[in-house]
Amino acid sequence: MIILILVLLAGAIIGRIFLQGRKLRISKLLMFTVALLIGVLGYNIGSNPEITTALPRLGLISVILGITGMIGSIIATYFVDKFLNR
Amino acid sequence: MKSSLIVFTCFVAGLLIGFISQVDFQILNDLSMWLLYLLMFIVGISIGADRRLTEMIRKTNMRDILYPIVTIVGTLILTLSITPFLNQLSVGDCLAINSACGYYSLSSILLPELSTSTTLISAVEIGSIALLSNVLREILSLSCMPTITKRFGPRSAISSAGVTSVDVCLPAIARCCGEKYVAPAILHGTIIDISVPWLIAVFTSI
Repeated sequence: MIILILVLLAGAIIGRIFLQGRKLRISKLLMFTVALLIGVLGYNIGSNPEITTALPRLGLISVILGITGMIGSIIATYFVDKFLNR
Repeated sequence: MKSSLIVFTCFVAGLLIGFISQVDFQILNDLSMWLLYLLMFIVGISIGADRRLTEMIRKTNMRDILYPIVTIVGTLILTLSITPFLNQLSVGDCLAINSACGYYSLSSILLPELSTSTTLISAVEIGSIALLSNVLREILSLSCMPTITKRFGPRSAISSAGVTSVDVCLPAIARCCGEKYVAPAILHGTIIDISVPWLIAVFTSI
């Protein structure tokens, strides 16, 4: 994770020095790379026998827990955000 | 919604290809890391090129520290409310699995070590559940990012990403929520990142 933040900082410094103030059109490039990344993530999960063999038995519990955790944090943040920005 | 669909389709396509082709391409495992580096670099450049950079850092305040706590508390409260329906798992294990907030690599390794499960599901299997549920959280947050941002606001989108708001989901946050949310997202992910090992240790011991 530290390397990732360093890469981010390196990009920020390069952007600051060479490209400051220019209008960059990178939204499409970002979208493309995110889609590619998630495709590769999917591949890694699909090709991992440890995950695919556990899926039929533990899949439902995992789905329930995963979605519950996500929704819980979304709702809590939504209301706290509303309260703070009244 | 459209970009959520594209991303989700890519995920399913990758999953199916991985499942059908029996060849293990080690290169693809490394590729995901390199892609992530590339994404971080692009996000870095777009932040750096933005003149509002100094203003953005200056505006980081106490509220930004509050949101990761809200993320963790929200996750745990709703998880606690469904534990009566998941009687195969102990309350402590349910909370420990979800307290990872998307940190699947750590939770799937820590939980089999720390869990003292006495139910039908073994400690090793709890590790698998932690892996599956937290991967799902990451994938869903990433693919639903545009929709969550639109319906519930950028703060909820960051919250949904949990710990991955600092790495995998950061480029999507920059794209959907705007660059001004990059600094809060990094702080959000980092604070959760530091808290997860402690939370798992606490919940597995109850």
